[in-house]
Amino acid sequence: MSLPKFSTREYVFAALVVAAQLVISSILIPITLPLRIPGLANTINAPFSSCLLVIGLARLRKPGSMLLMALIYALLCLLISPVIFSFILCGGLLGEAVGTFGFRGYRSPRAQIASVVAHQMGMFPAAMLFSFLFTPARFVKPVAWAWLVAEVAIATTSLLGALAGIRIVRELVRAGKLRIEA
Amino acid sequence: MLPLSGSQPVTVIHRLHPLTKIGCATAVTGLALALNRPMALSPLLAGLLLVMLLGRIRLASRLLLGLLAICALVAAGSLWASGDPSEAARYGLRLLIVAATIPISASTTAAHDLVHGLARLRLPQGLLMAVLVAWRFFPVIADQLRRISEARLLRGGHCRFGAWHRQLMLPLAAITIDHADRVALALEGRGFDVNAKRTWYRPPTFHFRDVMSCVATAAVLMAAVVLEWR
Repeated sequence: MSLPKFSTREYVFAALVVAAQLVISSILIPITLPLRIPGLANTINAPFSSCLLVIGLARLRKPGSMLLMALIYALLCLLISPVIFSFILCGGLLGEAVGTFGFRGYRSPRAQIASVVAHQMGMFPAAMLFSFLFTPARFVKPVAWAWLVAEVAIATTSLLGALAGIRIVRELVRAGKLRIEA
Repeated sequence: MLPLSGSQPVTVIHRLHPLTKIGCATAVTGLALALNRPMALSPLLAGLLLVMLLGRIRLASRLLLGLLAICALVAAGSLWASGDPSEAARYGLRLLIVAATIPISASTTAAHDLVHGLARLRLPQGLLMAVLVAWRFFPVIADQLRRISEARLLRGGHCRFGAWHRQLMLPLAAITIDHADRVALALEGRGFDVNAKRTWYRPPTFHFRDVMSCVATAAVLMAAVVLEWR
């Protein structure tokens, strides 16, 4: 397995973005889980995660950056469950495919936003397929509609988060906190 | 449930290789999703309960009750939908088995043991280092987030919905960037190079107990398969 050559600084930056993402998820997801509404956890978590991922992509910029952050997150979740690992990896692969093949990297804000939204949307169908194994046949059709609504909600909140992320990146660059290579 | 931050191995389950635990959990989860007869699912659940007993894994009563309530809700929903108790038991047991695998790895494996175990899979060294950094800095970032929230309250500010990114995410991002710069500088100052070949002080190795646990898991899986297609 070979990722593009990242420097120590880039690996550390990606790791800390993931740590921040994990902190936010560890607060938000347990609050939403008891409600048992399909996609609610992802919808609530998406703006914060997307915002942090856009900041990460704006700094890293290389093809493979999305996959790197998703892999770090997924490997940390591997201990919790291989199932969660597979959801996150699916999202990461989709986000990376959009960024790398659609935009050839993450240089433009458009590429960063598209990749992050694809990542958030990609995680949910994997979870949805898994949930079908716990859904009685009679409920599959109505639940599929609920999942479609959830996917739209995830895309919307993720887009809002990604746009907020772009604004934060601009402010951080203006303040001299974030160095972005031309 | 988040993995251990560091622990001394106390039971045979704690001493197992992390990849053994993950592999066995994956096999049990995969088979539980493929089996349909409740009778076939029961050996898997019994095996997991035995592992939890051996590993002295205790779940908080609130967590346990919540989990059982969710499984009961799924089973009751299935019973209402299909009117078939067998189908209800199938969905309830499936969910219980998938949930029961979670604390086994999470509460008996430290993050650094997982990373040492993953080193055997020849993943990039930088990726493994990044997993460790993310894990080590989880409590630091959590503490910083609490401070951001306290500082905002001290200033008498209430979080406006439209300004969440400015009030919460902007300071969090600035702090994260500061930490990243400092950690990277400290690593580079100590001559750390992600692209250099790295050795591990004490890499976990596969022992006889790992082989035995794989054999025991295979036996339970076989029993479940036999009960399914008998």
